[in-house]
Amino acid sequence: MQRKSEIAFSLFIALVVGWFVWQAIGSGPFYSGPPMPRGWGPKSALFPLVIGIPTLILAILQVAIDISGRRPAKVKPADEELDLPPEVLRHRTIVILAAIVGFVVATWLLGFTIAVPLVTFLYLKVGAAETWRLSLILTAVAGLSFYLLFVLGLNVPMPEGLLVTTVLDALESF
Amino acid sequence: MAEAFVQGFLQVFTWPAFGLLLLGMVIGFAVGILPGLGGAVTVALLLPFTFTMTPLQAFAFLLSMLSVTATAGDITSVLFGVPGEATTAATVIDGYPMTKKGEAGRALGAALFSSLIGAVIGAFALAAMVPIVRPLVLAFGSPEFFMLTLLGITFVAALSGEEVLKGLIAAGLGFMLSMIGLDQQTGIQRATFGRLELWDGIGLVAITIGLFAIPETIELALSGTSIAREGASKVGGVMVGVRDTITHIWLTVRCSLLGTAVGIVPGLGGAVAQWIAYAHAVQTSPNKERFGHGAVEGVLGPGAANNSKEGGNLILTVVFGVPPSVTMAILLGAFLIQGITPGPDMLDPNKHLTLTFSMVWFIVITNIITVAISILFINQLVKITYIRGTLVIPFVLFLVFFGAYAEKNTLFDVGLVLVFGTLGWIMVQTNWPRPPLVLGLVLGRLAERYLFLSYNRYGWDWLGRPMVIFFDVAIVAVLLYSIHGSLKSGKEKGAGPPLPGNATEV
Repeated sequence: MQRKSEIAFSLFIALVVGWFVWQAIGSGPFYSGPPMPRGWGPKSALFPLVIGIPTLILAILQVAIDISGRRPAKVKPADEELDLPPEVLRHRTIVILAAIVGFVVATWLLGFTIAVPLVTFLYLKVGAAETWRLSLILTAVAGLSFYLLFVLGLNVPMPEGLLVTTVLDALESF
Repeated sequence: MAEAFVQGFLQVFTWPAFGLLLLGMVIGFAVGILPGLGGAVTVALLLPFTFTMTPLQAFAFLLSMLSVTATAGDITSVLFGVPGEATTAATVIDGYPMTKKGEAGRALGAALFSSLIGAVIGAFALAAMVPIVRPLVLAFGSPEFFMLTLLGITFVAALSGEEVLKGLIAAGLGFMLSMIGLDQQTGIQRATFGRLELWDGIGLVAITIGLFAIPETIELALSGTSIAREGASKVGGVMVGVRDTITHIWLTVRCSLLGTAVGIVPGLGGAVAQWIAYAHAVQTSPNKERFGHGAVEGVLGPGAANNSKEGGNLILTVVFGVPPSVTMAILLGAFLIQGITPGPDMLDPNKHLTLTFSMVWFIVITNIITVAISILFINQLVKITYIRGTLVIPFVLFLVFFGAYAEKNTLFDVGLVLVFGTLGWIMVQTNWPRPPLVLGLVLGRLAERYLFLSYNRYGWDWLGRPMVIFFDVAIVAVLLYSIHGSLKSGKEKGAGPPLPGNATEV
């Protein structure tokens, strides 16, 4: 499984680098034909080609090494492995991934001012099953410290969030 | 000269310059701790306040703030694994594992004290190197600077331990990512996918935070413990870290000098200096396998270089009027606001030499005060690392995402954290080193500019210049040395029991 992951990731890196080279090579300094739509022009393609071609060769070499299995796939040292039942590990994985993605989605839809206390509360109460009291106190601390420090103190311009803007626009049109 | 040096020192303590120095320190500390809000942004925001100040007051205010930013950035890096500044990402590599082992105090003590030594060395280098730096910098043209950037990235790719090849590919990928956006020379869009947000390239803060902080946060959540792991003994107070710095004083001094040297090169800077210092710490250690798992030398090197580079940066700004970084470019604005022209006048005892030496003293005194105060109170801050992880994670996430947003005030960078967080997590799982990627990204634009200038000016003839050939040989030597080390380490592993870790997991 570890080896398959390593091969897949090395292949992914090779494809990304290959894509850059492919984009540049259309009309790079070594190309004499008519300009191609994807090309960046001889000047803009110089650096991508000088760096990209050797990187691509090395990336393909890495894929070959991974496939050949000449280097054994590394396993984490025992002291870094988590000795937990699978269901606990699964639950924690879902919670943290939901929190990370949820934070981004909440910020996009609601803006930081609402997303910070909301995600803090949901993570503590629903994800980590903390007590109501602790969840509410820490939510208040997060929300207030964010508002006082960044909104009032540093006056950082905050995005309102797509949903908030839509609702406010709808209310205004009434 | 000596009189100006003493006069410069005495001027630091005049009122209200000293009061402004303290105010700058407080602002710099807050900015340094909060991810995303970098020194450059803060100098830009505070610049208008210097209009009514004298030159001495203005530089007391701005330089004290800048000096503290780099030092305070280490605190967030060590305690939470979230780089407080893009220039303190290297501290995460060993600082955060030390925190997990219950040695946050020791790591912070080492980071702070090495920062102090670095700042002092960098500042005095500014004073001492002024007469000799001019011919040195003028001897380098764009081909030599291009080769220097390649050498820099080779050093860091080489610290990938057994995975030299992966390190080089990661560095190359970093270079490729740096090309995203409008080409600086031609204005052509490259890999922007039509997104306006990508015209200016991808944000360094968003990528650094994503690559380093997200995998650590996931790991903290999965472990279900505090940042300092359960069972980790509460050994290692701040003073132990201070003693570590004294024990490894020559490493600290060497990394400080490296930082100053990197600071003198236009375009390089803290984000590069820290990684080169880290690479030096790894390469000169007899126990390389400890790095990435909480080696105190991995904290000392970047800490020292990060602060000493300010002195190097100032040399170029003061002597040539050439700002080597964005922060210094904005600081140059302060010179202009004050009606001072950087250059020979700054070295003339009858004009601004006393002010130049006052700048040296501002950096030194600010760092002494900051480190003294931090060492007194940092043990209280360390207690955060013993709080249950579930209670800390929402605050870490808030720092991560808001830090990414604050650099450019765009939500696009928040999405980038998600993308690069995923990439960082996969890189950890598949043993790909992350530092070369970040360094490639930092150096990419600079390397491209120098390559473009070299090619335009000399065609491919620049490849035959003596210094270019010297750098070619140096790059090959570094690579061969690293490959040899990698093969040797592989053989030893094959022959004996597995080592407790490897330096690639950085």
